[in-house]
Amino acid sequence: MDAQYYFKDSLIGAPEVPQKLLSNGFANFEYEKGNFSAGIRYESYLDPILGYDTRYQGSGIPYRYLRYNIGDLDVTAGTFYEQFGSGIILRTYEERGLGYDNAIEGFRVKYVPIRGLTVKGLIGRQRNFFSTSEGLVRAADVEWNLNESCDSMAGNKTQWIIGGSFVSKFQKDDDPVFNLPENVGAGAGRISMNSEGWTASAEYAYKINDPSGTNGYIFKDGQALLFNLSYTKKGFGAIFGVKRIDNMGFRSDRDATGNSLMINYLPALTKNHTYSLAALYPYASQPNGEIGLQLELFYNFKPGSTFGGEYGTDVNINYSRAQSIEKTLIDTVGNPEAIDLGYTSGFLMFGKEVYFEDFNIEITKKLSKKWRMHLLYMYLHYNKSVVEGRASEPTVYAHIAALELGYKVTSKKNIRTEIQHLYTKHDKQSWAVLLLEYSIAPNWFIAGFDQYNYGNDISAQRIHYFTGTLGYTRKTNRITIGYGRQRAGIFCVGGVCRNVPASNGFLMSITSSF
Amino acid sequence: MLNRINKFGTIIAFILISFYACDEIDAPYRDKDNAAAVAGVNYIDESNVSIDGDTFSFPIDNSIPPKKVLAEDYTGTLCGNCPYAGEKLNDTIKPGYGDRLVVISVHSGFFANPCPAGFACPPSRPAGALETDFRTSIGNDWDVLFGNSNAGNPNGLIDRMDYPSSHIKAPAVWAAKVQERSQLAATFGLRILRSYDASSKKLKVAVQSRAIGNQTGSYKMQVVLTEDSIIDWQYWYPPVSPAADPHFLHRSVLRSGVNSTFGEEISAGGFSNGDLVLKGYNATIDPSWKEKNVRVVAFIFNAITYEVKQVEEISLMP
Repeated sequence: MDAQYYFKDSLIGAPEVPQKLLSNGFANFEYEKGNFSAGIRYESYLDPILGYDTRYQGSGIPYRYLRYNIGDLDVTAGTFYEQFGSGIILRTYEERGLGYDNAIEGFRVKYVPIRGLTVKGLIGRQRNFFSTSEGLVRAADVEWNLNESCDSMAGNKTQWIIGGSFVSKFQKDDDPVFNLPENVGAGAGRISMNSEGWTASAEYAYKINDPSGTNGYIFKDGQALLFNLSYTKKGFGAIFGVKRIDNMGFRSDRDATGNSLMINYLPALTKNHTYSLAALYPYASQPNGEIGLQLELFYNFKPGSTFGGEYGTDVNINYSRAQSIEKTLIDTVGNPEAIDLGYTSGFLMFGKEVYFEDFNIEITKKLSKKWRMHLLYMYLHYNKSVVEGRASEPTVYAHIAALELGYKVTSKKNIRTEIQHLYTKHDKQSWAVLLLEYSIAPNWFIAGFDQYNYGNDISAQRIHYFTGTLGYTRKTNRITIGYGRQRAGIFCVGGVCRNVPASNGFLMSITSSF
Repeated sequence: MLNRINKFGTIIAFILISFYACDEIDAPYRDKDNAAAVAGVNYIDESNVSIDGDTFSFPIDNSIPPKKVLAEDYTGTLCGNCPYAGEKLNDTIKPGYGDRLVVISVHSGFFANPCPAGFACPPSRPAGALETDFRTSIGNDWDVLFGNSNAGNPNGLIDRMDYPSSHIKAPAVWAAKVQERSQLAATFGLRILRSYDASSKKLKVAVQSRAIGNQTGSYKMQVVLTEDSIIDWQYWYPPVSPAADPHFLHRSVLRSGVNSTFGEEISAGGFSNGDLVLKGYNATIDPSWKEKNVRVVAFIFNAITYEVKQVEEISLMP
């Protein structure tokens, strides 16, 4: 359970909260006996913490299921999460930090007719806060592990998996203007290979016309392609990923916006940074069209080598970029109705607008028995107008550096510090961060954190966002209390984002498992 | 084995049925007829119409009017950045064009959902503040089609140009786009006649369009009511303080449609030079509106591209 007590703070734009105290809480209860399992999750938002959608207000049991497994057959009745392939036509999941939950309530059947072959079918409606969506989701997936099925391939070093899926949604057409499709289908095919350190996977998806609030009610089809290639061996790793997305927003309610009722998941293909300034401008996937790529290299310099020193050195280099796809408006001369088809786009044609670019190097090194160090440098290009969906916002070009030092006082006592700096002439200009943390394993930690917008062009906005936190952990129980300021911004996980408003107050978090 | 085949067959059948659950739509994508016969309206000829017994007559006029521009400001009382944009449009841009620029403020979307239920309602507000609901069903439908609030207020449409790819215009470009549109030659003339009975609150409206030059394509006519100079609450983001302003001047607020949400067709195949179309309507004015500030706005737009070709505005009261 998380609870926050708020104070008004005009300087940072934090409003006065009449309730003073807001809380989000949940409790999972699971029961399992033999082939049968059941569970419920009680959720309570009294009232929702600032930044979470206020449609969560209230309490209830939005997640409940009964499940029975008879060898090769697995049946779920109730609420469930599911993912087909990489999720580009169906992924339902919960991300508590985002207030995101698009679970399906209905029936799901999984069946393994022969070894290595898994067939899934489901039907239901998606969770919409404490109710369900108007639209109905029907879906099926087949995945075949060739090596498991074919005895002749069982011992091969190269493993192959192929799969295909289909998702259809139904929503009544009550639009006053358009003849909308009530049944919208999307299909995908995928293949993956794994051989002696190499892993390659590809998935292509196609969606028929799906006019929606997200795409401006055009009747264009949608396509998506994901390709990932990686190679790892001891001390070295390389990952390459590329994607192309064109009009692939897919929701069970065509008029839904924000993070509501998304059936599919479009990965960001960018690095999730942990340092607060490196994560100040995160990327959100653009369902209406983007081409993105990511390359990541990892190398471990062995102890005793020139760069490895006494304890070895890890170096991680990452580059990611996302930009527009080329779009050519439909020629409507002689065919004016074609305007509702929107545009055409060559499959591998790049647009000119850069949405996001991130180049970063991280070095991790143990300096001595007592000291360890982590260094980060990052260059960022952030198209705020596109990523945050706000007109006339500046594009941010920034250089970010972070130094993290850890000192082991004793075997149980550690001190950790982070010094971060973000330099930019755009948006709110430059920031600096200092963090100090002292922990006594395995029970206690105390931390102080200051994020200072020292470079803001408006002198009154050169604000310190200070936070202090004290935590206690015992067995499976953890209590954290803190006080501080939260700056306004956006918070993203895997390309899905929510707005975070400014706030000032106390925070208490209790986590317990039994 | 038979049981296994049955189970497998059931799931395969489910998959096959799912594949048929697709509706591929071909043109026409929009053929819903929104025009409705208006009771009490009898057309005498292209220049004379009787509405509930009163005859409205348009004298012959072959003059070439200027092209007037329609600016739609998509806004909300809880949108703290919107009043800056609205004031720029009404106080800076409009004075330069006078009646050649017609403004409609469309309250719709997330930031127009008022307190206390609105998701954007500030936790701290004076009692009763920001509770007026300026949303309308017609404005909500426009917003769903054009996607303005979804794109992030404030923004607007200037003559609804560049639909569907780049029709949403940021406030920073409003002045340039209005100027660009105002320099076009008029392709339609538009005139409005009206009579209003304050005791019964009944409004009668006649609108006549005239093609200037030959015009290809299909066209629709839209008639709506707006109310200007409403003093009510508005939320501001800094530096204006206090954030909740009880005396904000809401300009040209969309109040209701007179005909259907997306107008009614006046031509499916285009016009020859001088072609006239006459439409008559009746409507009832809401008692809460200040009659002296209510205006009738009519505009002609391309039925496919939504581009506004001409717009006209007249006060409810003479």
